[in-house]
Amino acid sequence: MGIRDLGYKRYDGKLLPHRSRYRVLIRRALSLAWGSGLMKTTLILGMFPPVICGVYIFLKHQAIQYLARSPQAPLQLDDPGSLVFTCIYWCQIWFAFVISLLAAAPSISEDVRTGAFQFYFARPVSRNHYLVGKVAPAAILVLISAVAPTLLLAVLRVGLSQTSSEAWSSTRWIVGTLAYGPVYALVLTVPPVALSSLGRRSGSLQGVWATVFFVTWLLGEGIAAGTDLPYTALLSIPTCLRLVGQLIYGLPLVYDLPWYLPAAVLAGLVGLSAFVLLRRLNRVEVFS
Amino acid sequence: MLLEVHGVNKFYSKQVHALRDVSLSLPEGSIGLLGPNGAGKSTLLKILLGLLPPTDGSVQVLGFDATTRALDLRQRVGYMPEQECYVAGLDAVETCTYAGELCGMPTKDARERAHAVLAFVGLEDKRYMKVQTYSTGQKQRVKLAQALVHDPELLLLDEPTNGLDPAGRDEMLTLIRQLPERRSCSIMLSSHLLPDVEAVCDSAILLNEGQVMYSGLIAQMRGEQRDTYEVRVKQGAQELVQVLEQAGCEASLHDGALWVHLPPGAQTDLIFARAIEHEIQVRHLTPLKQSLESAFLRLLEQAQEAQ
Repeated sequence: MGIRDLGYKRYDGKLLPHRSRYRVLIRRALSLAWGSGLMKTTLILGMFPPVICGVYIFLKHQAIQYLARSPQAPLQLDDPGSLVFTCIYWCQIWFAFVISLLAAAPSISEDVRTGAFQFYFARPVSRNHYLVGKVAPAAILVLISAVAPTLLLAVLRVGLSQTSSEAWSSTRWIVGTLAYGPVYALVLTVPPVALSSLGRRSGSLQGVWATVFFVTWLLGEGIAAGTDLPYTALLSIPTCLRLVGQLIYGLPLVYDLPWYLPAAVLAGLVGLSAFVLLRRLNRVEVFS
Repeated sequence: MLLEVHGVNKFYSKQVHALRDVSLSLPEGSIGLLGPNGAGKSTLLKILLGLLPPTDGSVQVLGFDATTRALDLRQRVGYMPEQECYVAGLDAVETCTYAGELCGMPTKDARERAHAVLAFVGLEDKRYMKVQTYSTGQKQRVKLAQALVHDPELLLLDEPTNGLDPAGRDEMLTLIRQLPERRSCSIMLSSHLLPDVEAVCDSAILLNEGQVMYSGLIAQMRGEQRDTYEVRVKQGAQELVQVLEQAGCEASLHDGALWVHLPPGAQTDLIFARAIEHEIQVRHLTPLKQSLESAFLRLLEQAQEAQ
């Protein structure tokens, strides 16, 4: 090994404050995620449903305008704005789930496998920096893939309004998306990141997250729909997300349940995941 | 002072007392951290990096309190871990750039330094390869490079020659030995390989069962053993051993040389006198210097006897 000291000079440049670590960690995680072909494909494919929904909203709005001018008795059509919720829940959840599977579920287990804890914690990186550096990039990707296109859809709905009162009433789709987006992103990122802190085999942990997500969905929603037991719907993470979304957007709840129960289930899930995550990180042995 | 440690104790539980009343005061330079497995080396390193608070006592490294200003301290310290350590998906340049950024360097500066430091460790030709594809020796070099990128004032090295072949080990030690002079940083080398420490360090801390057995210059630790001499003769070494033992000395043969421990009050004249009496020609007589290994073992034995 040759020693090639190319004119060594001591570093006398500035050092950024410790709070810059949040930005560094998030930016690097996003750049690594963008390097994955599967992630790029998911993000690009995730743009199609909102575009299709946008075209549908436009055409439906035109049809409503046309029917309103018709000399015959006006045919009543639903406000196309409800498609905003349909888009974020029924279409974008698949892409958001794939992103949580790719970016959140292996985030900490990969570091355990490659010994990267020592890489981070032997530097001026605190556990809070690390925690935010793991959850925030996954949440940002979910927001980009699911929430941002839906927000554009809501803006389109407002833009199509013919009167100021229609525009005002349509702003609820924007406000709803702004309120629902963070809930949606937290539910789809904090639990899989917490799960990833429990082991070092990323594939297995991704499998566990997928199983938890889909099996509870099938069981909870299946039993609730097929029987007279609406409370079983609370077993399902996606169903709780759906109920909370309906609540936020002011839509009728699909199951006859007190409004606060699905919100409490999701808050409990995120809270428990955060607790597990913090507890695991506090026990991290940087040097084995 | 590089390190100021006063009365540090560390309990992991009521039964596990990892460090016992550790006090150290060491100036800048190259320091070896020695001790058998379970001696408390890793615990001391964690405490010095501010990753673990001591149960009691105070720790100052580079003038920073390791408990209250751990992030400031780690900004000025580099650490080369023993185990495999990389961020999956990054090449060597990105790894070193990321390491620099995490230490507070702006991206542009960190990238420039990454290229320079990878050239310094001899990896400039392979710097764009993913770290996970490197051989063990190349991974060791990347670990050293990422520890150096932000120009630390103190570099902590944990078993840096682990897994290297003899040639790679020599090269790594050559590189480490030159660091204090070329990059103006102090070194703390934790190793169970005494020749590595002997080759690189001026001072040493010897830990055993959480206690400091020795801290100071290696030359002093190895030192001259008072009243013990190495004697070489032309012929009749075995005979001289018997003669000196009859005269009250402790004598033994080691690789053709006699190690002679004189009785209290005796001088080297005794050896010469007995040799002349038996017509044995003495060719070499010098105070016996121990190897680091024998000094290390002697200190451990003394500790065990004291217990």
